[in-house]
Amino acid sequence: MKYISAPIFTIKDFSFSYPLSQLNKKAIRINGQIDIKKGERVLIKGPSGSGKSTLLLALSGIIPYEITGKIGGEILFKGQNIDSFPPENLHRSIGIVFQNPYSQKVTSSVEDELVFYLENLGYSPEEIDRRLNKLYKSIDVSAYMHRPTNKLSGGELQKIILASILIAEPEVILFDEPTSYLDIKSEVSFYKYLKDNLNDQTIITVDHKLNHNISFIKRIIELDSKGNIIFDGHVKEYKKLLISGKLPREKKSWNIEKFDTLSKSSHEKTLKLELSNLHFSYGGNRGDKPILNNINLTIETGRVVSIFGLNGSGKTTLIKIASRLMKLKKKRNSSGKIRMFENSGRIIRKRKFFDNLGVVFQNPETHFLYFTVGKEITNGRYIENVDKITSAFNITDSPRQNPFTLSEGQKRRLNLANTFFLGKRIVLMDEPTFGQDENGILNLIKTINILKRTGMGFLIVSHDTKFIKTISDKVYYLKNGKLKELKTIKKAFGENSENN
Amino acid sequence: MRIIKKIHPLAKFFISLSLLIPVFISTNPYPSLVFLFLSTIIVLLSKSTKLYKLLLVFLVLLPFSISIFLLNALYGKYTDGETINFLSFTFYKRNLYNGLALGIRSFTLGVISISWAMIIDFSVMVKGVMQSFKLNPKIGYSLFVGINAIPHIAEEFKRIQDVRRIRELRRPMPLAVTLNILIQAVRFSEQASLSMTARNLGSERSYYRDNRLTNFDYRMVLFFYILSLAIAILLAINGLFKVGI
Repeated sequence: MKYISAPIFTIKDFSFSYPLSQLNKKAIRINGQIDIKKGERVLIKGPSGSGKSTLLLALSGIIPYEITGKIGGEILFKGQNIDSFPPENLHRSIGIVFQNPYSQKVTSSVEDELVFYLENLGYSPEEIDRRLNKLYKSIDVSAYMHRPTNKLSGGELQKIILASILIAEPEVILFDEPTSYLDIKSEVSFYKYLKDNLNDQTIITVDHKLNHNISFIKRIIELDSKGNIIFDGHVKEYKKLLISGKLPREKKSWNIEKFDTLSKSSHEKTLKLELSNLHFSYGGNRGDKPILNNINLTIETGRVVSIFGLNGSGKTTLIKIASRLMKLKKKRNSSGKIRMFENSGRIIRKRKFFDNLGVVFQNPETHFLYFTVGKEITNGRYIENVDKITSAFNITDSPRQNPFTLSEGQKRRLNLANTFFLGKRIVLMDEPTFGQDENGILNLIKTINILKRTGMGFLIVSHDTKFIKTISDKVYYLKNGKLKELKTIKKAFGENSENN
Repeated sequence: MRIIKKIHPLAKFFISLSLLIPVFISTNPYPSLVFLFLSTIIVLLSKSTKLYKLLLVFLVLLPFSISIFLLNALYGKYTDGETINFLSFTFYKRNLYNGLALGIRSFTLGVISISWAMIIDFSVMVKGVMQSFKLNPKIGYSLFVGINAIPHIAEEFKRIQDVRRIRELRRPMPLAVTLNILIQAVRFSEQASLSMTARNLGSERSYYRDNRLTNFDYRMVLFFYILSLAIAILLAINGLFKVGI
């Protein structure tokens, strides 16, 4: 591949603050200069909340055209200040995939979503047809082609959003955690697609992970929380430094030991959540094929049970049913029993069910009900030491901050902080590592282990096999509606994951 | 009937107007009954909705129409003329007739609007307007987002109820729920607008699927307008159609 020497992007001491942000706190600040050449494949790493997503918005031209705020420094695109280009020229050349696929969908059908960008670029129906056929050869979307976009699982939707940008082949593609909702199989095939199909395009990816993308990425830029560039070089060099431990690391702990004393849980009695003979099928668009077929599962306090499976295998549906948020209706050919009981056999009544059960949803914003971080943690109550909890979970310095202005990683930690604050005994977590950096995941593991010891139980659904491997007492694999217990963790990840 | 299913959603929208206009401008109940019958038959023949769903619409609208009827029958503007005694109430005959006309008219207007909305694919309809009538895609897709926001808001409402249950917030707080929904609706539209801009939505674009109205659609619209006019004239000749609002 030939690189043209002139950089396509130059980022010079760039900083940005969102309007109305607390004390003009900068969403991003980069100290120094970064040049990105045409055709480069760059991974930008950094701690959660360091402004990586904001940087991508600035590189795409959304900042300052659509989102205004206080800008410092400059971003040059092809040698000229990015705001000297008309926005339509920028959006024609630069495609961006947002971190959260739910916030990017516009249309109600899969086909409309796939062709939306191409239509806006003015391609003829014949050309769109040609590109769609090429895409279908690489990515299998036939299973959900005729489902409305609001009925797709997170992973399925992310595939569609990724495909909708890739199919247009813009000059520059910006990815914000492009595989956060994808299972391993889809993640591998996504990077294979990039490798096989992209030629001269410049790719800039923001991601916490460095696994399957390593085959594709050539250069890594790592920022610290203050915006200093702590590494900029080839991926091989980065790996060497990482292994030798020479890469400077900010290890910001969540102070979870402190949090443990703030939790209101009283964990004397063992609780069990039992799912027995669960059958579930959506009917309608998903056909009569059962999503869940004779599922039997017990989650008990002091244990961590994990489930992994491919996108659309029914993991989120299982969480919804287990939490009784989705009812088992006979007309959907759905049946089964969900019971919560104490070790003595005493059944927890329906009214007390949610006193003991917490749910952390896949989309962090789903959880939000209040307009400040402090109230969000304490369910709207005023408590004096709420700032201790926000710092314990490394959410924000200001409990008065609006939760919607947090980074995706901070939002996820806020979900967890509320669930833990309420002292739930059994917690169902759907993709808890979404948006978390390595440090965040390590702290999450520590937190779960501490809370497990104090008598909390967890059901975790995740694509993050490393996380599952570290945290779980029992691992299940969900495939074709059936739950298969994997006797050993090694077996689980040997048989059912690749390149992990 | 396949022919009704084949009609473009935008043409269906125009056809629904052809059924609504005569009902809207007539002051007596007969046109309402005729067009209600005609509309229900067409909707059922389209096989795009089920009879029980249609009956549900009837049931929901009935109490409102009965209220309109009773209000006009009891407290109508006429205070002289023939009266009818029913239970302990005295009704003026003219008020009763007016109430009946208004009640049936409001019921018919409601049923036709909702039942046709149930068989119209609004996303195809908006695309039809953009392609056939050159509506600016920026406006068209904003309408699109608005249409998509309806199921989104319904999901949001369910989501808030679920989250409140999980977070042990049992007391209903209507204002808090309204604010939450409002904020989510604003965020939904903001995110959709960012997503549309980022994917270069402008005034000019191409379309992968041809959603323009065909000659068949124009002919069907024309046919229904002529049919409605013919029915109205026929009723008027027999003294059953009086124009007024």
